[in-house]
Amino acid sequence: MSGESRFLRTVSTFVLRDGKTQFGADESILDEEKLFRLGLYHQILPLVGQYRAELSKAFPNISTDFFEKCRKYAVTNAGRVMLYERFLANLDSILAQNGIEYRLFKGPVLAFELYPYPHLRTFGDMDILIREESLEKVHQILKSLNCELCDDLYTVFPNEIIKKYSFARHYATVINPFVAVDVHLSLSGRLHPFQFDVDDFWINSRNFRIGNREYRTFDHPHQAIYSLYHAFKHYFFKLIWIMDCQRNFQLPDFDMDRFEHLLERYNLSKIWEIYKQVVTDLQNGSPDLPAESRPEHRILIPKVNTELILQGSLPISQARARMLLPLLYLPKLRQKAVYLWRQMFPPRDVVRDFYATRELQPTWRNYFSLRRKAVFELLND
Amino acid sequence: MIYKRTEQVEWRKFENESLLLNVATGTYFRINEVGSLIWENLDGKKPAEELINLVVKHFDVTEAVARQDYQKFIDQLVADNLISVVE
Repeated sequence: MSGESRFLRTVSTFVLRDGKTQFGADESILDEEKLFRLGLYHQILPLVGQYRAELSKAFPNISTDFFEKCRKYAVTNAGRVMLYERFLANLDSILAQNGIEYRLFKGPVLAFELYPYPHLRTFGDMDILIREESLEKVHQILKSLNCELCDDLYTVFPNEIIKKYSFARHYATVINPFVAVDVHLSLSGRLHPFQFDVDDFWINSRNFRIGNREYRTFDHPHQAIYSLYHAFKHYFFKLIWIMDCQRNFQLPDFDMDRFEHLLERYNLSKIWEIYKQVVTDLQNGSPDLPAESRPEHRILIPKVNTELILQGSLPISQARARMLLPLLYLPKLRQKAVYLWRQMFPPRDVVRDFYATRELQPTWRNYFSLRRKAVFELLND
Repeated sequence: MIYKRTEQVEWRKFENESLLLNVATGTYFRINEVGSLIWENLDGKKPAEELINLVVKHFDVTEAVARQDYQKFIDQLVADNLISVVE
């Protein structure tokens, strides 16, 4: 295990135990530039700044400059949190005036609820779940707040396709302050094999306070289920997501029975087993990297490995991981086959090229030509 | 001169620093320990001499150094529209 990995594991342990733990001194000389990069990747720099007194005792050869850099990062992040808080309050007020209900989830909720201070948990944007019928109105409201639809995967699709397949829409302000908002019609797109019942999440919600305002968000078991799914969807590849999951379970009076019921309902039991192994490995040290993780072994879906996660070096691309990971948890062979087939040959009306390139006619010939190219790229990723 | 914080500024204290958010422009500023002490006391009631004396007392510096720091900081806050003159 590298010194950097040991450091990251130590940070995770401090966070999960709220700093109430002690470690012996690790005299390793660490590459501080690499450590900072890894901390940025895993979104834990503010936490390193927060626990710098304890961490500097655990790793006495890390410079005070390094910890000071992390502390400053935390303070800068606090500024971003203030911006988001202000923007959110304004957005909430306007949505309420227009009679639009929504649910706030992910970043800001987790930051304010699960960590001692919200600026310890970085988030790149805020996510809201809305009802389909509110899509056009929400778009107008965000435009009035100087938010433009970003040029991402779904910008080219018309609204009827966005609604049909529940694609998310990503907005960002074009002038100061910079904030980004993801607008969701569902918690997983309709093409995904794994479907959350949006009504279930919508109904099982609660009030949650940020500053002097209350917002609606998912109740704790649903929040935890979504956090688990989201982390797995991305191969658990960021430490902050693993910490989010654990801190959800550590909430006082967390209803584990309801959570387990949701695991069954949403067919996440296998993911839960993988997650528990990752957390155990994180705290106890994982086995040596398996041979198949070495670059010379190309395999389609490698096992989730904590050491690889810590090093920020997945054996496959994030895009491939996202697409192929469902094969790990779909229980039946038939479900895996159907899923794979749909990934290789999605419905014609979701092929982006037909909207992005107007001259390209949505014929079957063009469709199969595009799909052949996409499959080839995926297999050689 | 007596100054006070403008209403368009939100602020939070973090350990020994403070963060100021100019709500109108969306820009935020990080200020150090000395600045934080001065900022907290820009309540529209305390004159410059009182604030300078606070800096001398808290940071064990000479009056000349405190006065210089104070003036430099106030000039910056005025330039960024974060404070206004009361009298």
